[in-house]
Amino acid sequence: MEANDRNNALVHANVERFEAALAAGRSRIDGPEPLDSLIIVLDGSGQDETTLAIVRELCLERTCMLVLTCGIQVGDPEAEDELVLGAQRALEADGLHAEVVLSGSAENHERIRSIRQEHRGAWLVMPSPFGHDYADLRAKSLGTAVEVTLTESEMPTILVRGPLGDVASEPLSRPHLIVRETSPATARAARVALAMLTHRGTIAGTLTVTFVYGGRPDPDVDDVVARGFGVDPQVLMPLLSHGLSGILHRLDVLSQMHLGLKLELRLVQPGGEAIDEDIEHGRLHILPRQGDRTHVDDSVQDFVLGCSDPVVVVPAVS
Amino acid sequence: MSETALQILFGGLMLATYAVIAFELLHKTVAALVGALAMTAAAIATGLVDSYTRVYDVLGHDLPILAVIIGTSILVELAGQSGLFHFVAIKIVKRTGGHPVRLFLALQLLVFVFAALLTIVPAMLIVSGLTLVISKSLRLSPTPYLLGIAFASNSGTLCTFASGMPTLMVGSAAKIPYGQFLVVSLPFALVSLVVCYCWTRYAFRDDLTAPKTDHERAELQATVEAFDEWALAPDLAAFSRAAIVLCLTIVGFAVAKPLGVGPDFVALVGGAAMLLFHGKHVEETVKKVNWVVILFFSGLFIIVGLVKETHALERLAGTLTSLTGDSVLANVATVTWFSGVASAIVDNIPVAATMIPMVPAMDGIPHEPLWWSLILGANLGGNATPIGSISCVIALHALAKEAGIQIGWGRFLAVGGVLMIVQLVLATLWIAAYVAFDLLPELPAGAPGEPTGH
Repeated sequence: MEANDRNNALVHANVERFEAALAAGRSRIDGPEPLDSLIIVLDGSGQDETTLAIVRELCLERTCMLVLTCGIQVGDPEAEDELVLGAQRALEADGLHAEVVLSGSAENHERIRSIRQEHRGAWLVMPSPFGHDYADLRAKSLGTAVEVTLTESEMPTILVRGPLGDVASEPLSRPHLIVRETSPATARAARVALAMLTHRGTIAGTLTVTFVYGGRPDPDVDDVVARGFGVDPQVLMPLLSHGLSGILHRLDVLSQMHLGLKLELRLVQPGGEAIDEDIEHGRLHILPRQGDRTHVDDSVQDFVLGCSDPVVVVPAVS
Repeated sequence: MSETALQILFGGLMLATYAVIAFELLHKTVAALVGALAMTAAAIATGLVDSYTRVYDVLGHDLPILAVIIGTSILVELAGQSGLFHFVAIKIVKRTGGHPVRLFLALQLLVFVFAALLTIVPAMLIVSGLTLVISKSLRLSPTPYLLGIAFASNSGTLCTFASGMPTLMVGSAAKIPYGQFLVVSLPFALVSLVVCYCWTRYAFRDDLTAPKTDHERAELQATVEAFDEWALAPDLAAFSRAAIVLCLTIVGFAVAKPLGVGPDFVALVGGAAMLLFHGKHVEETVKKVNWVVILFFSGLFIIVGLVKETHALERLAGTLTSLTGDSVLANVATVTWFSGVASAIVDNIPVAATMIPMVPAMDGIPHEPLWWSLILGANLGGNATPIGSISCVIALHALAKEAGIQIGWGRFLAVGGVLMIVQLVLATLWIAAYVAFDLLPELPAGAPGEPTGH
């Protein structure tokens, strides 16, 4: 009986290893997420200027197809169209051509959905209409264009949350990936982070990975975080049982291939002080989204959405 | 005490120990050690041996077997930690594209090769884990796959000197060179695998249906493609070192005889090299050597050695040959079927241990075919029943624990029992054909029952 128990335990350990291989494979990071077209949604607020600044930065080194539309109902279709046409002229002044989709009769979120369906490989850039106090994405399911788009969109969505300061490129080159578990969304979020780091050509910059570690206290995990990346891939093995070693290992491999890429690993416990208060702002926070929920702890979400940095919400489906 | 009385006493104690093991009244290692100690005490009391230190002489003959087990255990454990076997397993499964029938074949081939290289237990532990995950992912019933690999692994144990415990025991006792396995038992192992595949494919035909549409095919392909083999091999250097040391050890087994060393030496060198080059977790690794099995073997060798001292096994062998006469075919059939059926009922290790001293005592018959018959019978007999071989036990427990599926004796016998009968018939014919066409290589001088060469 003891021998059977021992063999059962060993079979189970192998089952877990192969399941981890399956999870890691489903979360493969082959390279940056393609960034060939952008759907730009404007709302007539002060954040439109920031939105256009991000678009200009993203299009600096590449040819992007741009589609402009309005995301807020101001009651006057002509005013909405003028808002969009004005943005088009501003972009053209910078040498960027943007297609315009005027308001028409459809609701904003329906029009955005239609544009999304037409441009499946695109990314969305849209201002958050709720300003800095927009604390919980899920609590605001009021049918607004942003809310509907965020919960059903299959594309990475950059939420513009406030002025970026003097240099729009700063947050884009300092992505901050927040992950909690291995999932296709997490892997895609990592690809989005790489896309941000490559938006000026080569992979360069610092990728900060915050691992929201919700398990029991585990000295092995602390040790991995203390040692960080790049010492020995073997050190990432303790994270295998937490489902992340595959993603972290692949990021590590990428960082070895691209010497300009620096990786920084942070560990936070969910709840309470989710993210160190000393984390610098001026970053692009990247949140994986599985189904209709973001893939991070509420308190992490509160932190990210309570700050003025832009946020990318990344769904699993590509 | 007369010789007959001694034979009855020690034979009875040995059978009592086997009964305790078969009915799991005690852990088999405890039973073997208690039996060995009781028989040592009886041997001293009856004057069969003059001192208890005689057991060291008895055990000394079998030390090479223990050395092979220790060396290969370390080798396999460290190579397993490197992710090498998991990597290979996933690579092969991905080649099937998730097609249920191809997967069925690939898993049987995989466990066959792993059993040949790693021995049956590590092979089953790895491949049954993969089978459970892949069948769940592809929404396939795990039963045909797990039973298929359990049967196929028993064929794998026939491949080489160190593939299975009975193979190792018989090979050591008969001093069969490694190369002879490649000539005699490896080809039969392949035949046995083909039979296993065809029969299980037929027996589980309702569960093994090909995808009907391109969409289904693509979905299965995408599922197996999702496996990331590199996720389990995070340290490329350790992975490469493990692969190199393992390959060199296999080559070492093949060239051991020309080099003038035994497979025990090669296994220990391989284990030590792996410890040296891996350089991590040495104490943990050494702890993972299956010391329970080594103690079990030690007890068993003492038990059989003391029974051998009474000449009971020679007498039994003489009785057998008087029944079967000097017909090689009859003796081959007797050894094959006796060891096969006995292995279906009790652990095949005690069966092999008991039969080994009997073969050299079977006078008037060439011993080579009998050794091979014992190897084939003891390894394949376990296919018949749920308790016949360790691979079947692992598969059935994995099914019950991980998938909640219970397989009754009747259902098992309908597949495994038939398979064993077919395989033993073929094994008998195989050895008979080798004898008829004079294809069996001669054993080296000095093997039990053979001239010493002096």
